[in-house]
Amino acid sequence: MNRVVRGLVSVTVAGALAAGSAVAATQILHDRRAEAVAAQAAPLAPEVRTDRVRNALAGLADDGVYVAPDARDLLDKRGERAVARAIAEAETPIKVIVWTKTNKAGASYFDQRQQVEAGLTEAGGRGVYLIWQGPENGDVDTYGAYGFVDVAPYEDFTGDPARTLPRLVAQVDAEVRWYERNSDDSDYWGGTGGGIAAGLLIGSGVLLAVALLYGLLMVAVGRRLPGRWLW
Amino acid sequence: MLPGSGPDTGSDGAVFAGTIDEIVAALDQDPVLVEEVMGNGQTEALQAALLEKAEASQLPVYVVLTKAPAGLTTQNTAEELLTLLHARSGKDGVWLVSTADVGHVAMQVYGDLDPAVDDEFTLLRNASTNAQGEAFKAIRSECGDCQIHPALEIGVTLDVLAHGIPQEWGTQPLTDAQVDSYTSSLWTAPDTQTAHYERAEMPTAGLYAVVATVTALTVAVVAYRLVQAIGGKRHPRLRGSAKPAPPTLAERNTAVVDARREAAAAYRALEKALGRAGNRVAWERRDIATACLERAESRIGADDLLEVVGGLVLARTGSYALAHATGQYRCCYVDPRHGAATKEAPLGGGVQVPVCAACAAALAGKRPLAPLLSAGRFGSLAPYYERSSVWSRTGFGSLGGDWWQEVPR
Ligand SMILES: [Zn+2]
Repeated sequence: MNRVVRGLVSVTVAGALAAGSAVAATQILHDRRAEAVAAQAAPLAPEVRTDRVRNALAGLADDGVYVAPDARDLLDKRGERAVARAIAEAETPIKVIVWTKTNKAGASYFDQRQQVEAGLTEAGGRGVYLIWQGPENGDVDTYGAYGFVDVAPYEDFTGDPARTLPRLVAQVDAEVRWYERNSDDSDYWGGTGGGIAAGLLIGSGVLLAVALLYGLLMVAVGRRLPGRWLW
Repeated sequence: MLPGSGPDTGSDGAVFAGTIDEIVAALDQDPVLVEEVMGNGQTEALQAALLEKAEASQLPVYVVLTKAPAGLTTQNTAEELLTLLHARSGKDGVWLVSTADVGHVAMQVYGDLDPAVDDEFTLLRNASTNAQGEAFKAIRSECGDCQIHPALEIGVTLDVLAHGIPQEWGTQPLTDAQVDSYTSSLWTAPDTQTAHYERAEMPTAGLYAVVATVTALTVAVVAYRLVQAIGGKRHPRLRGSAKPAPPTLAERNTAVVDARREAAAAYRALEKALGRAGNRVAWERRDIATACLERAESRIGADDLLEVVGGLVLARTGSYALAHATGQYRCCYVDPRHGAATKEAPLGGGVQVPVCAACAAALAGKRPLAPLLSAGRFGSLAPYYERSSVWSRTGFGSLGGDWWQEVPR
């Protein structure tokens, strides 16, 4: 075999292996992420929602406020009507849940809140939800789209919720910010081009490390690999 | 609705027994009260399951799973609520109460429920604990990190009560099927909590590109070089570090046999010379020869190459002492098997050592030496003078002095 043919064979074999492993690597990346996304969504699926969350979602449908039967000591019916009026006056769709904090109602507290958010998102549109569990205890967040509400439960959930909640609801229009997520902004690597550039840089680093390792091994054993880069 | 005029209701009209009186009133209707706040996500199913078990009990039972009413004063709201409920209702029987903030189950037995036993509470608790242990094992074998709901403890206790108060210590009456039924989602909850910041998302186009590029680049370069290696000269040595290959075990064994033969011949020659020496040789010289002979004897048959070579050099040193009136035998420092040293040459750190002509030439030409090797603890080989032994200290006599005296007999 002459030198040129030999070199071409090596290039072809190396190229095929490189393409194959790149495809396999992206496939593995895709599958593992898909698994993680599915696992994350599993406790939020409608069929595993707790009765407590289903009742809350149903109760929010008419006037946007729901008080669980066990939370009447937190907010009475007059307070509930005041919250409903504030919601009706706001421009942003707002949902207010008042319930007792519990992790004995079929899901961790975090999962209950995520189930609520998933249920609200499912119904369509975007808005803000508040969950009052007691003084300095609860959540405020957006549903249906990425956003940020400048209301902190541990600071702003104070006093009698019959007064505090209508006041916070009235602030939402001014305190909410919505983020438009376009695909390039959310891509840390800056799209395909940026990814290839970063990949070449990282790949060079990896090759450098491989070369270093090979060098150390070569010195330790006192022998090098047969053949050479160019025959 | 005015406060105190009836039970609380939620936005959707669902009723909640929020006071001691309201809970007692609810228990008058049904001995089992499960509120949504403790309902494990399926309040109605849990209420029905516990009610069915309560009805199968041979003794009166009262079960409450709820949020602790306002105004309780102790940390253990379950225990406190149980005491208050019993005091208000005055009903004897087995009471089982758990509250959302405590999460454990309070149990009490009121009245002499079973005349045959003295300590109903302890016997019941013991059987229930044993049965719960079985249920936990069944749950763990199916779901490693499932959370266990307090309702399980109540359900198991009611199952025990279907057989009355247990009469014996250390047993539990549940069947395997009953134990297995507690693995259902009615009594457990999957532990799915994920942290806020770990929100999993599908990879972006950029991330795919990074992973593909890194993989392709690395694999391409490494694979190309490996394919180029196929058919190449086998593991060429690095230039400059042209060490002779270390001897194989077989080669080393052959070396021991050869050295032994040589040493035995030198020993016999010394023995003969010493026998013939008589008075014409000075007694000092005869003493040296005798000392060398004694020390060589045990070494000739040794398995260790260094010992055999030591025997060889000792024998030659003794013979030299008899044959010459002054001076002593100096072998090649690099390997005594090379024979007598004829020159001095700098080795390693510039120390002058006696060497044979071949070694002197090699050192002058900066060619690699072939020193006598000594095997380390893990079989690695190194020049004997780089290791610590009587031979490296004396250089097999090449460094001079009455070195044989340092060699053990
Ligand atoms: Zn030599």
